[in-house]
Parts: sequence; structure tokens; C-alpha cells
Amino acid sequence: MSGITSDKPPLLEMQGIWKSFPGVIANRSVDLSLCAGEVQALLGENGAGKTTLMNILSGLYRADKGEIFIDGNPVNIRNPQDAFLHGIGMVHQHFRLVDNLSVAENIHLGWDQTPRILSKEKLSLRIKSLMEEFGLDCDPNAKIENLSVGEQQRVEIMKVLARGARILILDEPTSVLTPQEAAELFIALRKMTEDGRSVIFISHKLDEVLEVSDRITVLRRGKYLGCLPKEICDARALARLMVGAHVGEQKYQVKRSLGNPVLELQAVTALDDRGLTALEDVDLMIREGELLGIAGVSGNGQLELTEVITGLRRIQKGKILIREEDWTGKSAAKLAAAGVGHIPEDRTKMGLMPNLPVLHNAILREYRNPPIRKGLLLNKKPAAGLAARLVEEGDVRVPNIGTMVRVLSGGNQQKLLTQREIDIASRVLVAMHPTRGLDIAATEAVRRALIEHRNNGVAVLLISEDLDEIMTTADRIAVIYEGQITDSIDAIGANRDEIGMLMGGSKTAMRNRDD
Amino acid sequence: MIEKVFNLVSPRWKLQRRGDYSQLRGYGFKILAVVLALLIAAWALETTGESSLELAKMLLDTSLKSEYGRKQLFQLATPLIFNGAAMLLALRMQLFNVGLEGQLYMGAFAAVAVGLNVSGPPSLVLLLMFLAGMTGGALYALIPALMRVKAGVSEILTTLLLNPLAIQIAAYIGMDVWRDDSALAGSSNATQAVPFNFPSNFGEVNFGFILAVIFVIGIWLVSTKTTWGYEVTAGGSNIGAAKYSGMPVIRNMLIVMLLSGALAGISGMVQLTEVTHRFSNRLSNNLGWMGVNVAVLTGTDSLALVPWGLFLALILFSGTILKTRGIMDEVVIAVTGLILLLTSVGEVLANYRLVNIAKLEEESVQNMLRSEV
Repeated sequence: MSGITSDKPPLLEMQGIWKSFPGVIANRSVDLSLCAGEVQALLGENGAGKTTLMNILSGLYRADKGEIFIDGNPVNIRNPQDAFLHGIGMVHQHFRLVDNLSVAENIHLGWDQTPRILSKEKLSLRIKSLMEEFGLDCDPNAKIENLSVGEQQRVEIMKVLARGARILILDEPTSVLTPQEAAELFIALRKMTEDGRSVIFISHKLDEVLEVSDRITVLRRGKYLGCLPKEICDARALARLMVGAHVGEQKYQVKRSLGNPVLELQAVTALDDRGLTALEDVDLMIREGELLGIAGVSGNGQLELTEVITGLRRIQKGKILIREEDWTGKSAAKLAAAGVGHIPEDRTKMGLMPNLPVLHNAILREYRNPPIRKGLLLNKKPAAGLAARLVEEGDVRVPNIGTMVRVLSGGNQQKLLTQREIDIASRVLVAMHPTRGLDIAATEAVRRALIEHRNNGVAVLLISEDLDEIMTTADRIAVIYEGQITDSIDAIGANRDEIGMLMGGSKTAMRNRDD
Repeated sequence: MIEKVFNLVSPRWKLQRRGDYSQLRGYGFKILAVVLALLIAAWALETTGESSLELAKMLLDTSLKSEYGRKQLFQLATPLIFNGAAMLLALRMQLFNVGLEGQLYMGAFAAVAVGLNVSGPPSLVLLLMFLAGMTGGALYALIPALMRVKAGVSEILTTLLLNPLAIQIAAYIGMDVWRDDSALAGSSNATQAVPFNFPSNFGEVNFGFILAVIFVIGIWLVSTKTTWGYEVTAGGSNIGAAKYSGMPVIRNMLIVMLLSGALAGISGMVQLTEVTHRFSNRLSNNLGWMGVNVAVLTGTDSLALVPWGLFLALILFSGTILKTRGIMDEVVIAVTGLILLLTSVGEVLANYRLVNIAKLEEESVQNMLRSEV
């Protein structure tokens, strides 16, 4: 079955790996075999067990059962140091770099080959020679905080390669990159494998998997489904394997007549927490029953945009209109009462109180209003009624409303949160990364809830890093880059590459405005 | 954390976090922990040659079976309950008010100022002293509260550092400013006795204890039955969510801190009126600090402050009795520490269950098979 055959034992073999967490088996007898000089993709949806498997390989977790061989010899990987000694290095989804140190300093940090006597010149010289060796390009003296995400990722990769990694694991490396940056990464990966290194590439994006890898290992719900050479795969077949059932390109958009403007931002300027300009002269308008998608690489002002609309952040300049009334400078509580719902980026830090029961979480928005509030008192009966209704309407799987939210799955937490916000969002619903980290079923449920709410005539703002989500869900699409928002275009017929270019800051703006 | 450590050393069994919280199970674990702590203490006493059974009987006879003992228990429990309530309230909002001792002194200071300088019908002056005690404690808590909400200075540091300051002020007042130089006082280094007393016609129970119980019930009502109580619970559980929902988090923090200080101040006023009568730097024997212990033992259910306050009073009182038998009262401090340690562990453990790994795997395979059908 393997496309690559050789007398030598494979560089890496994992056999029969089991790993369980409370209530779930993340890996169920998973096999993996990696040849020298190969780029192998590890494909599966969220929660398929890809990251768990790689965390076992890199020493962060220990497998319950199973064996690992390197060059045919059994090895025991007990911690990340062991993994390093065996030439295994992992680049995590979230970078582990020190922002105010330079590239050279970051690479030398905690490295046993760092010279005892340091000088800036010496360090950057060492890094320059490393960069030539690996074919990566970056200024050794630049501070991390001044680098783009793509460059930071290159530093992470270099950190791992410098320590002599023969097996490079990349966890969803393109999720933070623009399409152009991703293409550059793929070229760099190819170069690395030319001198015998191997790459394991975790992803759930079919196109890039087909583009970059030699073989593809597919996992579904912790099970190993097989390792296929790229030549015999196509996107549809892989998708079917990954998801388990037939999935078609799902488009929600329907052409409908446009309603009146509901939410309008006029030349809004706002600062971020550090006092720097996060939004600059932003104009935005969403009509009745319209879903506007904002694409963009994270950190370009998305968070501030949601906070400005929901009253959590003051604006420096500009106006916020809801149904042509001025709502500039109103508090979060007032805006919520006026029918602005908010699904925040981080459900456990902001949207929910994980250590409190479903009941307390359900009434977070409504506790100020009768009948739940009766004078100074909290009226338990209508509160429980509301909680029960949200659970039912949102299809939240929970034993009872006294259950702590922290024990719910991410999907059920998000469904509870989404339903609560939909319940108050009679005019505007702002959703930021509403499906991040969810499995396919929960993703579908949340997206469908947003769409249904749009169909009820509410203006929905969807902010997402996932371009596919925006392309399939939004009616119109705009791109945010460094605090500025482009004019929106019609989602039907939108050009993916062009949006990708805009996300990366390209100035050749789209000109096909729809209004 | 605890499950990670456990699971590292245990090959076949695993600690798993429970999804639900049962009040009953929590109590069970706590009582178990207390019994265990007492058994360890008994064993320690045995090794010194004492008969722990005999000692226990003697302690219970002296404390619970005599009228004097019961009166002492209620008296001792009063400040413990007040300060336990003060700590519990602050903890609800994730505020660590470890300045109860200082706030207690400042409450007593304000009360003694009224008691020595205002004359009038006793009930009116006592009411004024009560209000003064409340205000004194609250104002002393206002300083760290403002520093926290305005400048983000940790209230743990500020409240902690304000304790010795308050006690030094008390020493200065007692030794110098309002020192009682009469022959009767001798060299007590305290102020004159306040000439007002709480009514004492409640049998063995002192008036202050009744006040404490009323306040505990009030706190329970406010925190479980009102929207403000909900805001405090929400803010303490996840400040991000509270802000997101538009709650006045800063204002609530200030109010909670002021209430916490006010409760400590009232306990200072009660201590002055019922126990010491004179104000000095010896007014409180770490009573504010004991409030922290009571709050930790109590956990989340504020009504339980009363029984836990009484229980801790029993332990402290036992210490006093043991001292008369020549046993160091450090033993009592050790036992209190042991009880706290074990109940804290018990409280965490109550959230976990022990499961067999093989069974767990089988369960999840079953679940998976079911969900795949």
C-alpha cells in the first residue's frame, strides 16, 4: 500500500497506540509509519486524535498502550527531553516565543549548544549560518513582537531544526497563515526533506494536504483508517474518509431582497488595551436579515471590533447606529437590552462561567429583567424556566440545569452560549470564531442557528479566521487588516484568492461592490 | 493537578473529576477529615503518656456539660462567625481580605471612641457604637479596596500590611492617648472600661452571638435570593463573564470589600462590649485570622458558618483547658492546622471519584460504539 518502499526500516513507527482521557478514548490502536525524507499529513477533523498522537510522540503525554520505534529500535519517550534526544521536534499551534527578545535570542534560549559567553554578533552569526543551512530566511536581530505570524512560525521551526530534529511535527501550521504565507511554508518544507528530514503535518484542510504531502494518514474519532499515497487520493474521497459520511459543498446563501440597515458603524476609531490604534475609520453596515462575514488573520482588530459593537470598549471617534438611532458610548448592559447579542471569542473566559451550573449561565443576560428579577430578588422559577427553554431550543445535551458548565463538551457549551445570545439578539448578533474547536456536528448546529437567526430578520456579524466558514455562511464578505475594513463584496462569486490576498494586506482591493 | 499526580503513581486506578457537586458528599468528606484529624491528635497525645479518651471526656464535660463552658463557647464563637462571614463574603468575589484583624481593631477603636465620649441612654449609645464599629472596619477596608480597583494593587498585600499598623495604633491609644491611669487599672496599658453592656437576658447565649446569627442569615438571603447576590457569585466565578454581561464589577468589588470590613469591625465592637470592655492592643487574640479558618471550613454554604464557628470555638476552648493541665496549647494550633489541611484535601477529593482504568476504557468504547451506530 505504501508508495515508498525500501529495505531500511522506516525512520519512525508507532504501533497500536492507545490513549484515553476521562470519558473518551483519543487514540484507539493507531499506527503510523514515517519514512526518511517524507512529508506525511495527519488528517482528521477536530477531536480525531491527531494532536494527542503527536503529543505522545513529542513526550507531552504518555500512551496507555503501544510502541514507538525509531530506525527500527524500540524507544521509550517519557518527556519532551527524551523526544528531543530522539530527534523529534514539534511546532505547536500556539507559539512559545518570548516576544521582546530577538530571533537569535529566542532560538538560543534553553539550548545546550548556546555558547557560554554571549555576544549579539556571535548569536546572529550562528543563526545566519543555520538559516542558510535550512533555507529559511529571517532577520536574526529582529524582535519577535515585530514579526508577522508567518515569520514567527519560521523562528519556531528553526528552533526545532537547530536542536537537530530529524522528525518535524507541525500542528495545524497554516491555521494562522495567509494563503501566500502557507505557500512559502510548503516550499520550505520541501527543501527540509531533501536532506533526509521528515515532516508530520497535522491538518484538517484537504487542499493543502493534497498539495504538500507524500502520504496521508487519516484518523477519525481516534481510529486509524489507513495511510494513503497522495497519488491515489482526491479531496472528495479524503473528506469522506475523514468525516465518515458524504459531505457536499454546503452553501447557505440565498439571494433575497435586502432589508433596511440595522447596524451601522461610521468612521469608528478605537484603541486596543495597550493604547494603540486597533480600529481606524471603520465603516460597516449590516441590513435586516443579512449575514456579514469578516475575514482576516487574527489580531488585526477583530476583538476590538466585537467589543466596540457590544459596548465593551469605548470608541475614540465615530458613531454607532442601530436602526438609525445613535447608540455610541452606551454600556454593554444597555446594548444587550436593546437586542445586541454577543458570542465572544473565548467561551470559558468570557461567555460562560464554567464553575457555575447551567442555570446561572443561562440567566446571565436576563437576570436584570422581570420576571426573573422581582424588585431586588432573583425569582428562581422563571430563571429555571429560561434555562430549560434554552437547553431545549439549543439542543444542549445536559442531564439537568444544575450541572456545572465545565463538564459539558465544548460543543454543548457553545450551543448553550449561542442559544442564550440568540435569545436576546432581536436586532444584532455578533459572533466571533463561533465554531472554533468544535466537531463537525456542533459546528453545523451553531452555523445553522446563526443562519436561522439571520432568516428571522436579524443582522448577523460573523468574524472568523476560517475562510471556508465565511465563504459558505456569509451573504457578504469584508476583510479586516490592521484595523481597517475593506468594502464588502457579495459572497456568491467571491474569489477566494483575492480574499486571501487582502487578508495578507495586499492593496489591490476588490472593486465589485454590491451597493 | 491532584489527579495528574495520582494517575502518575497508580497503574490501575484513576481519579476522575465528577461532573456534579453534591453538598451532602462535601459534608461527608469534611466530617471524615475532622474525625481523622482528631484521631491523629489523640494518637499524638497518647504518645506523650496522656489518656486521650479520658482527656476527651474531661474536655467535653468542661465545655458542653457546664453552663460556664457553654457560655464561653458562644462567646468565643461570636467573633469567629463574624470574621468567618467577612472572609466568606470577600472570597465570593475572589477578594482575599486577610486584613480582618486590622479591621476588627479599627472597628473596636471607633466603638470605644463613641463609648467613652458619648453619654446618653445605653441603648442609643450602644447603637451608635455598633454603627461606629461597622464604619471603622469598613473604612479601614476601603483603603485596600480602592488601591485594588483603581490601581490594581493586590489586596492580599495591602490588607496584610495594614494589620500591624492597626494593632500599633491600638497600642498607642491604650498606652498613651486614652490610657486609664486610675489605681484600679494598674499597669494594664488599656483605656477605661466602656460603661455600656449588651442586654444579657438570653440565657446562656450572649447578645453578640444572636447578632452574628442574624448577620449570617442575612448574608445567606442576599447571596442566594437576590440579583445582587447573583452578580457577586458571577463576578467571583468569572470576572470576564461578569464584565461581558455588563455587571458593575468594580462597584460590586468595592461594596463586598466594605461589607467584609464592616463585619470585622462589628466583631471588634462586640468583643469590646462583651469581653474586654477596655480597648488595647490585646483586644483580639488573632480572632480576625481565625475567621479565615472558619471560612475555609465552611466552604460555599454560608449558613454553615454558625456550626463551624461553634466547632472551632470548641477546639480553641479545649486548648485553654488543656493549658491548665500543663499541656502546651501549641497542640491546639497544630490540631486546628491539621483539621484545615485535611478538610481542604477532603473538599477537593469530594469532587473526584476513583475509577478502574480497564472499566473506564470499556465504558468509552461502549459510548463510542453507541454513538457510531
